[in-house]
Amino acid sequence: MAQHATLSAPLSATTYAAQRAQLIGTMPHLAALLPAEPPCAPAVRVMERRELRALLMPAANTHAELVMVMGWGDGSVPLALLGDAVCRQKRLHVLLFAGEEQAFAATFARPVLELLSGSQLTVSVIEDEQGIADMVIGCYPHHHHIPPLAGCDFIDAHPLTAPAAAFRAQHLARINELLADRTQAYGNDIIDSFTGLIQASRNARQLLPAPTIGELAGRFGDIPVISIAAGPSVKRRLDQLRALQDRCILIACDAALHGLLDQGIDPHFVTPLERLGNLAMFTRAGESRAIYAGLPVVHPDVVGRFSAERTVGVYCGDALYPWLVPDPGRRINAGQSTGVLSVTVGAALTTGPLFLVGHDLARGENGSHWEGAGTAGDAWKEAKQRSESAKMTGFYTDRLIPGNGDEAVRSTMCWDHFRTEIAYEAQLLKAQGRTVYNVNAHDRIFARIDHTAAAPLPDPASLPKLPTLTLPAREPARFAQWSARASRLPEDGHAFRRHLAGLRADLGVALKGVPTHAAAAGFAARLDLCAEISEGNRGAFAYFLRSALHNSTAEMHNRRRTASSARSAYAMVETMDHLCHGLANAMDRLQEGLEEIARDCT
Amino acid sequence: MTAPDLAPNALAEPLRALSVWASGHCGYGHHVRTEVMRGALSAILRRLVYFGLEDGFTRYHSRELLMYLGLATGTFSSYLARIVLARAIVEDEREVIGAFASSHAADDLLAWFAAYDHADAERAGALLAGLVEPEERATARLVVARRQPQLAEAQWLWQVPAEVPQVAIALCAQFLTRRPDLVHAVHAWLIEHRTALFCIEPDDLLAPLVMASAEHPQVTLLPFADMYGEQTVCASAEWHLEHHEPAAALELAGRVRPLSRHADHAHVIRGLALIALQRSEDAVEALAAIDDADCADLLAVALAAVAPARIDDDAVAAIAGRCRADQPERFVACLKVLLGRRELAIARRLAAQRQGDFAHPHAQAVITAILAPGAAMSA
Repeated sequence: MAQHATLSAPLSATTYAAQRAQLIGTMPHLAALLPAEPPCAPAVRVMERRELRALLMPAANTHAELVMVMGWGDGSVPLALLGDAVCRQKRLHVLLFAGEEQAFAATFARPVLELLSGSQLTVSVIEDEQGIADMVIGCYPHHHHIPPLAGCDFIDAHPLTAPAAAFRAQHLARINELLADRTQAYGNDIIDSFTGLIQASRNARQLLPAPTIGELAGRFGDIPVISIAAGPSVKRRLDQLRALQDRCILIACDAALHGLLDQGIDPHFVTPLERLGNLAMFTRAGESRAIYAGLPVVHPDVVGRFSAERTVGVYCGDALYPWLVPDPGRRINAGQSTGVLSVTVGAALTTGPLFLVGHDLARGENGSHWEGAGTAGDAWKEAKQRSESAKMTGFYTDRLIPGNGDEAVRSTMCWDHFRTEIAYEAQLLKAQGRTVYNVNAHDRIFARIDHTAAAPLPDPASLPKLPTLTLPAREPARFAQWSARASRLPEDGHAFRRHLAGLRADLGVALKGVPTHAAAAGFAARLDLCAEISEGNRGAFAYFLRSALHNSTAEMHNRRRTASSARSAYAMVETMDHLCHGLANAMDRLQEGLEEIARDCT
Repeated sequence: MTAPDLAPNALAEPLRALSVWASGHCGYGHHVRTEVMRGALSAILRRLVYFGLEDGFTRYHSRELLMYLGLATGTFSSYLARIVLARAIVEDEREVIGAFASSHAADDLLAWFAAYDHADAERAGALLAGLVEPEERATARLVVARRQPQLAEAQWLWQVPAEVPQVAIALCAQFLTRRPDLVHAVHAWLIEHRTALFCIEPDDLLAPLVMASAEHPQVTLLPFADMYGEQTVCASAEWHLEHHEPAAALELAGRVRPLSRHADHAHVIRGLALIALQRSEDAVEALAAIDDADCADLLAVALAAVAPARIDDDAVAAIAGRCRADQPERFVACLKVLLGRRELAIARRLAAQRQGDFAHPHAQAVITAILAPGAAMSA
């Protein structure tokens, strides 16, 4: 039997240099950890073979795709995993903790590199709590990356250097928490399902000609932007906001609009995001100067409350948006809340500083939301009581998170998720030399948002009065171009249904036999899209295809936790069969909507 | 015609459920999704039905049990009970089948089974002739083939629906052991239908089949090359070992990964093969690689017989002291090693300590002989 390679052999300077170069070639971010000369290895308890085997056996006896190793230790865990024929086919993600940089440099290990195929091993360096969120977002950004977490094996009991062991003990729960949260972050297309496609199409005539957020970028210079969410702390900023409303650009989340108007504060932009036709919070949109800077997938009744001249096209990263407008100039991270969207839209509008107001993301003493955003508070209470699906995912589970003061604050899983999204945007801006200021951090209240700085709102006297904000002219050609594509949706729908029927027939045959992994990969390629769909509409079909993938791929990764390679391949093919079935049913329901879209755009 | 007093196709539903269950997508919701949960549910149900509730409560976490009991109520309970009985019929688990006789949980299914199980050749032929539903017909043929193997035909195997591979495998085993003239049909069927074997729990199905088919040189499993699970490889290696082909056993056992859950089993086979090849020094290495104490004891006793310097008397005595009641052969092997080393006193002490622990007549005879007043080294 093959035996585990060991790390005991000393490393020559020549070998070290060669393999250091190889490792840096594949993972450049590790360069800072690898000195020119091999360092001495610090003390790490060496595991006995039996202990190591007991630790790794669960991962080595399933076909789950991903193994996460919490800490480098002396490198023996990744080495043993890569030495195993089954584990070598998996993706191995090693978290390198603060305090084990030297151990890594001393033992990053020749045998590991010899076994390494290149793309199967990822090493992330985590030096602090911020690094955890950065790793989770950076390594599991989207659809293809997140589902394997559902079947992931965690190895987190192996010895580390003393400081790394302390780091792991302190932060392991947080790492697991954020990785679990990640399954809620597939992106908008998963949330929308078919609703997004239909509603965006119905909004097309109004929104597509509107100037895009990319066309607005830089138009307002470096004017400070204030992003206003709906947390309880908004109440204490009202006077300042009133004084600043003509000296900064104010962007309000949807629920805050009416409350701000009641207080004599008229925001410049508002960022609706929810797909439901909740008109209550926009019935007075006509009284406001606010420009619609929400998502195209919002219910048409909401978008219709804003005149065409007061709309901006906001385009994000999901597959729907290139289908609507192939080149909007700039795409933004939508996030999963209107508050997050107000941050990302604000960041795109100017090159100036961005101030966060009301992004409390924790409970206040008197409630979850500012009373001026009563709609949001009511919706929140209702959702907490009624939304079974959200409860099942733990979306409203209470959670203690770091506060701006010395103590943790009471939050929920979803607020914590929004916090991570804003922190990610702030990190991107920081890399560009810009700063996001959290006013709550200055007052040391509510939730901490990483990568932001503490500052009060600016002094109105220090800022010039704003000129009237004007938008570029509308571009009707964008709607015409989209119409040409959309008019073919019905025939593409039929083609897709035929494609699904053929695919299902082939999958049925495969399921009677022994599907191999190669066969499963072949089906996956066929499932991805259909050649008969017109090129212009492929993005639209890919968009709702993703919604079906949401549950089934996570389930598939869970079912691949089996020791049998045949069963693993079978699970993959069977999942695709289920997916095709679901898609075919969905297409039956969708076809009528596609016909309607085609009629309306001609 | 169908069996008397039985609705047509009584077995079809539980059999389909069984195949769906085995293939991993349970029709009764998302609660029973993961393999672990499904396995636990299967085991719990089996134990609840067979051993009674008390054992279930002590063996399983109360939360799990509560969930499963909560699930298994009313018609659902009856449904699952029928699945368990269908599985027992296919696997010929007589004790489980017997337990259903008193529980009345699936009387119609039990009557169906009894009709085929007790039928003479003529009656069985008549009953089978009236069956049209494929799953029911295949299972009825399996039951009959166990009692009346002379009635079996090659087409019985070919007509088993792909959805119930368990039935096909059981028929294969029957043909291999009871109908040598149909072995060629097994071979042809295996090549054509590796399908069901690998799609659904391949190791558990294939491992015993490898053992059975290896007795028949004309049945090769080459079409399954590189698709064996490690459990099957171990079973194959074990067969070679038992048939005095240690080199082949060594080669097969060497294919099992050190991190495999079957690695200890493979190490034992490897060690035994090395001993057979008179490479006991290498067998010591195999012993050192074993983590499971029971597996280690098995190999250590064999090693003690050929390499006394490696396994001392105290170690042998300790192994003998650990032998379970269902391991009389290991206990006897320990005594033989000690007697071979002329350690009669130790052997006597062990025999005296454990004389009531083993029901096996051979073990009792050895113990009695050692404890006899006149027993001397010549014993």
